[in-house]
Amino acid sequence: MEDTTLKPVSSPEKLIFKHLPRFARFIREQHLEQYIRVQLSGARELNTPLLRIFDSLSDEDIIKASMPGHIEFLQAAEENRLGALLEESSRKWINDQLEGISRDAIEAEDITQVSYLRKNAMMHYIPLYTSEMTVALELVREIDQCQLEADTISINTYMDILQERLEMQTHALKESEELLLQAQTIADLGSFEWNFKEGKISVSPQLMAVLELDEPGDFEHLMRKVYPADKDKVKNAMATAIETGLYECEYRMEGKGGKEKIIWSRGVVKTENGAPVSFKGTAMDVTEKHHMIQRWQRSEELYKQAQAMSHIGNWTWDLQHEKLSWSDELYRVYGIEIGTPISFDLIFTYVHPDDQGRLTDILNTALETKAPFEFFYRIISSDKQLKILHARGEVLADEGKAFKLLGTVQDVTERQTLLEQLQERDERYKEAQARTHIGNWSWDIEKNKVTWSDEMYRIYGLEPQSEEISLQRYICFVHPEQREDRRRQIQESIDEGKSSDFYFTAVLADGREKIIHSKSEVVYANGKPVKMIGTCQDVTERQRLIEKLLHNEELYKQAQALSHLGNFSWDLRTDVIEWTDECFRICGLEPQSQVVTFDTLKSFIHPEDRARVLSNLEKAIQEKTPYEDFYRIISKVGEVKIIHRKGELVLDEQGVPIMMNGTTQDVTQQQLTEQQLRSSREFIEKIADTTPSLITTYNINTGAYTFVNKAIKTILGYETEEAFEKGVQFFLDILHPDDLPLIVEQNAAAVAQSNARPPADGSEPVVEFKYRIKHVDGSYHWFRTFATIFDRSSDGKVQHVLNVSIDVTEQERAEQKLQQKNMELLQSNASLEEYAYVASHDLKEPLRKIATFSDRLVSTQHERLTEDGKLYLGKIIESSRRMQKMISDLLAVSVISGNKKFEPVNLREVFEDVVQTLEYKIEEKNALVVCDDLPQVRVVPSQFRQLFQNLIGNSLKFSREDVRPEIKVTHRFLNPSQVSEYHLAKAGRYLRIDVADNGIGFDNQFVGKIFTIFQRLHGKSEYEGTGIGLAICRKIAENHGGTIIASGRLNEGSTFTVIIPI
Amino acid sequence: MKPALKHSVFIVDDDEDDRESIRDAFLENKHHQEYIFMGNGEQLIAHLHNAPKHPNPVVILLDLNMPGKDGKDVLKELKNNLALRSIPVIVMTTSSSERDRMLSYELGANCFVTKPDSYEELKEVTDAIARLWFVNEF
Repeated sequence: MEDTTLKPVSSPEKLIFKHLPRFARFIREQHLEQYIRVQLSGARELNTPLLRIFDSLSDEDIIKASMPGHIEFLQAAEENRLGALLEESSRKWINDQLEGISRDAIEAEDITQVSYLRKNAMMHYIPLYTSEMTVALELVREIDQCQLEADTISINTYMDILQERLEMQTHALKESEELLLQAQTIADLGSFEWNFKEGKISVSPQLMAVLELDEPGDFEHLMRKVYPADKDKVKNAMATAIETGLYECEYRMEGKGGKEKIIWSRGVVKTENGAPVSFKGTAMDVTEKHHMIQRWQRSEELYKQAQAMSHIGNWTWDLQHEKLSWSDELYRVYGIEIGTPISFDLIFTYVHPDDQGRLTDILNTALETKAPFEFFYRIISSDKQLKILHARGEVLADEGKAFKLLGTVQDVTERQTLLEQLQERDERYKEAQARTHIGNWSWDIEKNKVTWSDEMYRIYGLEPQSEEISLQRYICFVHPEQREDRRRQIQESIDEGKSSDFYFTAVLADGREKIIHSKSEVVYANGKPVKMIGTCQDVTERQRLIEKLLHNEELYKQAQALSHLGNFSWDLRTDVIEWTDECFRICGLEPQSQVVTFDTLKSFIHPEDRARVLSNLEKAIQEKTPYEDFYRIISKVGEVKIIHRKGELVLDEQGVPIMMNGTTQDVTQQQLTEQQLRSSREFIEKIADTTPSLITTYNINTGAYTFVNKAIKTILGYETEEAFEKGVQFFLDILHPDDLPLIVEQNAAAVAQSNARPPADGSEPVVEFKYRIKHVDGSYHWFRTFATIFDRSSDGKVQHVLNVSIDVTEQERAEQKLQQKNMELLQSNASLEEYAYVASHDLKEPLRKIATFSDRLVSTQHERLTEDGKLYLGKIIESSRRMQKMISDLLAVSVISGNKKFEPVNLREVFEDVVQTLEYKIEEKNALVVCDDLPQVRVVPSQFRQLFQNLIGNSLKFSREDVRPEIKVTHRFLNPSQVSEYHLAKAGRYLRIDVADNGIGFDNQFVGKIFTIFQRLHGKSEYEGTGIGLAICRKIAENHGGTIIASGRLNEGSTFTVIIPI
Repeated sequence: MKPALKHSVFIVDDDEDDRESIRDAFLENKHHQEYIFMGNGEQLIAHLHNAPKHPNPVVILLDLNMPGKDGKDVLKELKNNLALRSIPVIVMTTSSSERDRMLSYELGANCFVTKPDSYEELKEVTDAIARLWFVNEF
């Protein structure tokens, strides 16, 4: 059957994703085994029926076995060809080509559970894959979409399979019904008569045909064909017959071509004086029926439910013997011990009171009409479960009298909602169909004459027999899009002699569209097709209903996850709600543990949500709109869950709502996730609002602000609305007038540069500004702003700028204070030096007097002084002289840093000056004093002179006796990295001057001491000097931003190194 | 030959010891002149302006750091006065500052001498001064 117009189509483009491919790859490459494992353990938890097939395998084996499938799926996701994969899988399924699993082994629950498990497993890995909120959200959406589509395709396929089966069976039943009818209309049953007296068996021709006898009377021959297993049966039946006079036997025999034939035979044994004289009876070939029933039963068995494979029970009701027999499964369904004798009374104790009447009616009707029947009814099994059973049966009649009923019963509790409705309605509609108008038509091919019955005319909206119909006229009724197909079909039928059966859309004269179910057959004469006959039925309503049911997205989505969405069916008239197992589970109840009414539902709703939920429900029912709600329930064990409930109303013919069908889903986790996402978003917003930084983005072209955080209020006291209203003008108005021109200029320059050169690697440079902004109270605050490009337009031009500003008023003030303090310090330094100068000057005064008067004392009184007196006086004079010198030296040191009069000076000249000054000493010691080509640098000339003088003077002073003193002054340039250890003032280049001598040297362990004021390495008596020389050198070096270091080797020499920035 | 009249040598210094040391230094070198002491600048100026008790000095030995009128101001005054500026002024001060030296010369000092630390040196200095200015000894 081609119902392509009537199913929700899954569009392939719905399976093209943006993030899923990479994510799938991530899973496949890094987490494959765990991903499968998670699903396996989930499947075990849910007791997925499909697992039963793998019962004998260990977990590891299952993982191994299922891995290819998972890999295939993930790869398809990676390459965005899920659509193709799913279609192919469906095809394989329909054509029963699935590896390892038969087509009928898969149930609706399997589909939805597997899909659900897969989705869950995937969700599990999202946090591992990304931490970006947007990507995660996208991915969740895509996975949901994927599941939806996959399930849609799967359910479509499943529906196809089910429908096919349904049709097959109905067809088969019909056929067998026809056969039976046929058999019945064939007036003569095959009959036989066996005259014991004469030993003659006479067999009617029909029977001969049935039994495939070549000639009558050959019982042996007959028996030969009987299946060995049944031979005893026959013999026993015969024996019974002779005893009781009644014969009945059903046995198999080997028919033509080795085919199995089932014969049902009845007879009567006439006795005379206690001895059998004749045996008269009939026999019927019931093979087809048997096979039919067998097949039907078999396919019914295969017709799987959410639970076990064999929820179909068979039953037979032998009317003659008033015996009911049940198969094991039926016992199980009812929960009765297998083998317990069955009676209607017993059955009725299980049947739901509301259905008892109906059941009785149906059976009675069946007995009367002898038509096959089918119906649904509820039972409450032994273990108090409410079950919905689907019973089918047919009546066997002999000569118009029913003698047996047989059929099947199926536990369809799980499958109830959509499918049951579908079938129910289908049956109902089929029944209606059977009662409604079928039009007949015939087409004389040769004469091209079409004859229509009255009903045909009516179907096509015409007055009966109002006009001549031709093939063309007929075709005109066919919907334009289908005409070609229809023509082709007709031609095919004729060509191949096929009977056809299909649906098409007819468009009536008044524009109404109808869906027509058309059946036809070709009649041949002399091997030539001469006529085509058929029926047409207006099945619009039925189709529309199926369409509606199928098209209805909500119900369809519900069907999708039959056993994970809880389904509910609320009969608005009785207030009874039928729940699938999942609904029970969501509420923390045992599945099917109680009868559910609207009050039950209410009792689970969270008290705070109750009013709202009830009013929403009311509204939906009143306004006949689809219902959807989210609310909390408290399960039986006290868990608070968030439920998503959706429902659709079913209206009766008057448009009054009689039922609501829908789904319930536990979305607690989902809601939690959404909540988490929301809190993350809130968190980010909170950060933006609580940070002390002012964050804004504005459009460079329109000057409008697109984002201003709350800091504008907390830091500056302005409302965000003001900024939004006025745009950047708002900012310019509160910028300090002194800073305004510069900032505007800098900003324009930065933007221009950014526009000219968009960064290649996508990272935008950050530009800094500093300016004052007026607080709403009028005071100005300093802000340091970091600006960067927020986004660019598609042509690469700057579009939005992001500014983050920090209030640095305090720092500014602190810096200003610092500078002030520095000034003060400098000043005080200056005064200090002045003070030092004056102080030392005044200190020197009394010392001078000491010196002079001691001097005079010595010169005028020396004859009167004793040796001791001379000695003491000498010491006093000496000490005061030393003191004078020290004070002079101190003074000299103190003025060094005050002198910042740097000038470009040729150091070579300075050197030569100093050499000249020390000429005397140099000659005296016959010293060799040389220098290289010292450069010209900016120094304080007098100080550098002093420096050289001290160093060279020292070298001369500390020369070795036995060696000619050699003093070499050399220089070289250094770069900053070479002087990093000295922490000198910053400069691009440094000058290093080495003054090396070959004097007495010094022990390096004292190197720290020698630069200290007044520290000497030798006693006063050995070498003169206060020990200030090197301290002065250091001070001078420091005044130039440099340093001086020394190294010596005892008795070999010393080197003094001066490093200054230049 | 009649001995020449004694020169007046003005020693302007607020420090008594210094005044005496300088005089002693001269005397010990046999420079017997008339040594007039003045304790501050005002005294000097007053003396020079008003009817001098003593004739104009042959040389003024002027200290810089004096209370009241600073030596520099005195120097300035002296050198700006037509009548007085021909009198040689030798600045004799404890200061060894370059600045004072430069300034003194700028203001018109004839010589700048830092008071030496030793008496011997003082004698040498005064001897030099005498040889230069005490014409009655030649």
